[in-house]
Amino acid sequence: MNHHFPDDQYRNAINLSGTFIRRTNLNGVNLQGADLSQADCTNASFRGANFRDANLAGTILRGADLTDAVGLTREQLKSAILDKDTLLPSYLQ
Amino acid sequence: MEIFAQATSEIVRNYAVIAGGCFGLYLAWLRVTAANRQADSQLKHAELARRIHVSEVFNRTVGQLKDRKLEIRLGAILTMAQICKDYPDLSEPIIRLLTTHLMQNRLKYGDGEPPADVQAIMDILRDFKK
Repeated sequence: MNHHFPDDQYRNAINLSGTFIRRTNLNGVNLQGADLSQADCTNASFRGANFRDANLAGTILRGADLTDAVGLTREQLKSAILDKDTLLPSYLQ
Repeated sequence: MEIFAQATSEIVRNYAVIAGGCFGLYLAWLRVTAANRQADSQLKHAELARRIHVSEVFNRTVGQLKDRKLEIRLGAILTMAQICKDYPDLSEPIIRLLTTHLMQNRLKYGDGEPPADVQAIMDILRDFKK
């Protein structure tokens, strides 16, 4: 029997949990299923990045540029830390 | 009678020429096959030698990731980026290694621009995780 475990599909997802990556440029990166929990992404640029099913628990996104990012949900953003300078994609404004 | 004998002789000669030609073609085919096999074997050996060289380079660069000097760390990361380009099947383990390096060595650089090595790792993510 072929069991399908949800985690399997993100076997090669990026793990940046707890990293300090302020002001880095991650434009267009596929962060599908990625773990960014507790990462400090202050002022980082994520233009056009794919955040589908990414773990953003405790991720610091103050001043981050999420313009044109795809796959982001309000639930993900609720678990992250944002401020007034965080640029959100149009569908979440 | 003489004409018949001559015609028979001609036919036999033609068959002999055809048989000789076929045998020659067979020999040529054997030689080409052997040469191809040898070329394949040489290619495999060259590829294996290159893989071994890449493994050695990879091991050396891993050791340089924690170097005190930024240029050494940056050189190691750029070498890994080149390995990712040359051997796409190695890009996943290299990305895993580099992100683990970021997690384990949480270099805090304040609010300024990220150091070149940190941004070089992000460049690899951008290039190979589109």
